[in-house]
Amino acid sequence: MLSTLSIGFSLGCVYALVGLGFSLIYRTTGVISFAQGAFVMFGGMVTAWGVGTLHLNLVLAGVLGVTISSLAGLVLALGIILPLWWRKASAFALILGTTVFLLAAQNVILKVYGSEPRAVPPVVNGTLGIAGQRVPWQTLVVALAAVLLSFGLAVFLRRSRIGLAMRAVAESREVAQILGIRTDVIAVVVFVLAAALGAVAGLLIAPLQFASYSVGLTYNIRGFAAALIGGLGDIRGAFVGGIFLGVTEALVGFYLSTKFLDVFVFGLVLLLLVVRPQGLLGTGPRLPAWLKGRKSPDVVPQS
Amino acid sequence: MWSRSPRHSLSALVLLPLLAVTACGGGQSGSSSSSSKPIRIGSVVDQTGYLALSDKAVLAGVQLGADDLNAKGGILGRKIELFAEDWGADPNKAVSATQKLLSQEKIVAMTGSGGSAAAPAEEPLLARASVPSIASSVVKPESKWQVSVLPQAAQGINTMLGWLAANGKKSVGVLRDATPYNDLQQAVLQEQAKGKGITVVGTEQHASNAVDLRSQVDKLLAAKPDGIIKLSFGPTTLVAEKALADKGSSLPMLTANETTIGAKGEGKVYSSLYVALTGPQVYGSLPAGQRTPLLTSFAQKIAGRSEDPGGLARGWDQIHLLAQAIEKAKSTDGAAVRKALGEIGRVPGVAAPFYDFSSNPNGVAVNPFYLVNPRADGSLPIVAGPQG
Repeated sequence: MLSTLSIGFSLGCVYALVGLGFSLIYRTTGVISFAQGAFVMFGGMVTAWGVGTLHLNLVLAGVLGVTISSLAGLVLALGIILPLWWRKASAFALILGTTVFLLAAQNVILKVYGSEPRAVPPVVNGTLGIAGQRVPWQTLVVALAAVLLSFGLAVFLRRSRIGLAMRAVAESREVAQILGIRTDVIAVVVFVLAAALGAVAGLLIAPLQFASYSVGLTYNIRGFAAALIGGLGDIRGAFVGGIFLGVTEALVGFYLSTKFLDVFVFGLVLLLLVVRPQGLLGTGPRLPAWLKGRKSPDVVPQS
Repeated sequence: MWSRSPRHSLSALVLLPLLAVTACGGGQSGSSSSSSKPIRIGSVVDQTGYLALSDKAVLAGVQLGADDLNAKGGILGRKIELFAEDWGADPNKAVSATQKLLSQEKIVAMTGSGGSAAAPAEEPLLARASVPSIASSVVKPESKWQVSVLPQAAQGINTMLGWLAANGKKSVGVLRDATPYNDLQQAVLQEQAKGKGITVVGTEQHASNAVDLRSQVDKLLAAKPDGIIKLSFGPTTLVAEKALADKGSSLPMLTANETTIGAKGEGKVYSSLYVALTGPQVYGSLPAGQRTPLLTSFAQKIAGRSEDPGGLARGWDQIHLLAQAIEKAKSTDGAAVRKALGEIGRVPGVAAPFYDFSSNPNGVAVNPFYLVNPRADGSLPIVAGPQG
């Protein structure tokens, strides 16, 4: 049981970090960015390349991974998001643009590095004995990093000038513009920050799995689900949603079936969203409005 | 014979070349063996997906074989021209790749991938075009247009279960993906395990490109098997090994249809891995008495190449078998070549000792597998020879 929980928790922390990126972007810009998985992939693969090919130490390789990923986030923001925004493109066009980015990133990594998975050494080697079971130290590193990053992000949003500006844009883009806040600059900052979060998730989980070009889509789906479970746009919710999803996945896989794992897990997510459409921590009516005989409320929760 | 009239001489000068061109014929399954046009052969292989490592070796083997045949004058006096398309381990892409080869490149025969999802996708197209294919994946027994140089599922399973039984193992856990080949292997394994007194205590499934198998390995270990048989192929073997090593396990894990490079890399991660490999892949470890002249000649030919010897050998055998069938049919007509494949009898190969397509399109007639225990130093010591 402990082994299953530790697997679920480590995956959940990664889903949480990816979900944080989704929620951060959605909250500030209203965009659902399906490029988040690409940054998880960049983080893991560039770190693996740094260690395996450039023979850098893990820290430097990790910094390289986060830097490359952040630059990719900048490319996404300047090359796809802002141009579509300026042309008043629909939400679907923006989603499509981010999806195209993910697919292109996958193809580039596949072309450059090939399809073989790459090993990344753990931050701390070895395992810790707990209740007669062995838990890799890396699992604890992942958990600690996820908690610190989430807390750090919350503090950043509350206390820093840019964080304040981001919250202002999230409240009302029009009013923020009137107040002199450059909303397009804020959007770029948000996308770069989300990319960095995704990269950190990628380089943290890679030692427990492998880095590969194919992880982008997997973490995209699960990170988005984590954000939805917690309440899309809610930063704390993304963290809680990620842990919930990771642990549920591990428990379902162990006690029910790995063959139909995705069906069970996402079925449970769907059930949760039917009962509580605003997510676990999102605000809004506890029951869907049609059950109370009223029209459905607007979807976007703001916390 | 010729008129002395200039007009008639001019007409003859114009007509004769026209008659010659018309006589050369055309069409996809050309029937004239006197044409100097090359014989166009297509190859659908995975060049970008999870099978890329092995499929690229197969393609290289086909090219090597084609070069060898061309150096000796080609087939029916005609050179071979190869056309390769990538299916990226996606059956939808296998369909469009095959379509392109058939309609644009006008191939008369095909060599196929090691991925079992490609063959069923390609079959209807090949049937419509009457073009035979020699795949390096398993094909359905009722397949009319495809034959295979892949060892039969039962042979690999037999090798692995035989070793487990010989070492007193009574139970096994199974790790697999969702491919048709794994479906077939699972059915064979259930049957053979029963016959050898081995119980299958659990089966866990994963995605073909999974990078995390901790949950599946955890669940299998909880059932306390004496060993694990991994039916799935590709980089997931490394992933499974990592999960086992991280758990501190030393449970034997057995797998088949691996590349030599893959096996050597995997030996560095987990010391209790056992891999079923073919003759060309373990040539260096074979006792002298088991090194056939054909195998030795091929080993010398591929010395120094970086691709997997097993894949190279399969590709080599694919093109040489096609050549023999075309020579026997004395034609590149698809139906005639397919018939000839069934009539060439028991043919010695490099990747397998013999092929025989007379009664089964999966024509590897003798178990070719040796079981090795890859070591951290990259060596592949043989622990068991081919089972009957």
